[in-house]
Order: sequence, then structure tokens, then C-alpha cells
Amino acid sequence: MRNEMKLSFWSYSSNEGFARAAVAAFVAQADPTIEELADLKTAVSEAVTNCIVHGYRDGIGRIYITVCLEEGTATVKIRDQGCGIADVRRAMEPLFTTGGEERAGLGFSVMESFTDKLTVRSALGKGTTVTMRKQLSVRPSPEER
Amino acid sequence: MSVQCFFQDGVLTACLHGEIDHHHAEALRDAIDKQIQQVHPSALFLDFGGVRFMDSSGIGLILGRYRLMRQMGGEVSVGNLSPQMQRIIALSGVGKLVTVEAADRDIYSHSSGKKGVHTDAQ
Repeated sequence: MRNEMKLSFWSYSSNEGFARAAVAAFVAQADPTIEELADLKTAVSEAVTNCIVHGYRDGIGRIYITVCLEEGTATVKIRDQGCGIADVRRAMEPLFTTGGEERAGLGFSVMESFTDKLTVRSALGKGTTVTMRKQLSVRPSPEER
Repeated sequence: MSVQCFFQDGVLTACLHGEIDHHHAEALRDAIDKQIQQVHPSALFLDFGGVRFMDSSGIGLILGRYRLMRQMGGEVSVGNLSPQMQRIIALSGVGKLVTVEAADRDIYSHSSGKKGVHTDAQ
């Protein structure tokens, strides 16, 4: 069974918590462990923050999240239509940031570390799409436990 | 998201509560920096016991406070981190700059406040 949800919202930072909670709420039906859920929330938080801080740095735009659940795998796609990334490889280097003093430059490192597969597609002036996949552990059903 | 500060024996303890993300980081930064400028501590302890969630904005918060304290000749330590937070800290390498106190904290526990002069910062 392939299940999917889509949502979009304006790039206000107050929506970061909402995005985490919304993705976690949808994935909950796949019975993830607490750690898996925490991993996904953190990865979503990083991606959404990138859209807000970088993608739409000079204004406000829409952020689009799609989450797909299939065969125990969660695939999360987070997209903006902002300024795009000139050099994706460089942007993904740990500690690299164009964001100023209090930004750690760890967003992509965290996304990579907390999910199984991360892909980043971007075009200058068009936007960026981050896709993350995470296999959720299979646990015995309540009847089997 | 809130922070409660306690100052005793030259150590400023900042007890953080709630979720640390990009949205909340600036207010936290301002509240802690205000206390630092007021009391000029020799050491800053960031207590994450009450924090339910943290992403890499928390690392930025730690790094910024480290820079400020270093300017004043002081040190920074962090503690009561959940396993999730310890992973992000390890990923960042910030443990080379600040002392990471060993934590027995599980995801359900919260730290208790320390005794001393305290002020509330929201």
C-alpha cells in the first residue's frame, strides 16, 4: 500500500515546529521507533530551515512537503521555489554556510546522518528540492508481541 | 521555549526548556547574552535537561556563546543532553571547544534547577 500526504505553507520560521510535527504525525501510522521519529523530525527541521534561511532569504515564499510511506520506507521531499544553490557539492560540505555567525553549516550533514539516503536538486533562480529516504524498522505486530 | 538563569560562584547556568530550532534560537541567544553581559561569569553551563527537541541551530547557539565567553576569558560546558542531542554534538565536533558533561538523561527526564540567584528570561 502506498500512502502519501502533501502540505504547503509560507516560509515563516514559526512553521518549523509545525512541519516537524506534521511529518511525525503522518509517519506515526507506520509504527516507527521513538528514535526513528526523532531522526525524521530533525532532518525535516534542517531542510525546512534551509528553505527559510537560504531559499527565501530576502522574502517569503511557499514550502512544499510531500511524505510517502511504502513498504516500511518513509520518503520525505521538501521543496522551495527560492534562489537555488549555485554549487550543491560545496553547500553540502560540513560546516560550510552562507548564513552568518550563528549558523553552524550542519544542515545537510545532519540530514545525511539521520536518514538513509539524501538527494539534493537545485537550479539557480528556480529553487531546491531535498529528498530523504528512511527505512523504518519492522517490529512485530501487537498480536505477535 | 524559555531559559532560566542561575548565577553562583562565578558560574552562570542557563536552563533551557522547550524546542531549540532556528525560530527560537535568536530569543535564546539574546536572553543568555544579556545575562552574560550583566554578571560576567567565568564559566557558562548550558543545561539542556528541559529541551524536548534540538536541531543544528542548537549547535549555532552553543558556538556563539562559546565565542562570547572566550572573548571574556571564560569557558562553556553543556550537559543533560538526550542521546539524539549527543549525536548532533558529536557530528559537529563542538565537543572539542566546550566541555560535554556525561549525561544519564533518557528522553523522559528533565533536570532540576540549581540553587542560587536566579532570573527568568522568556
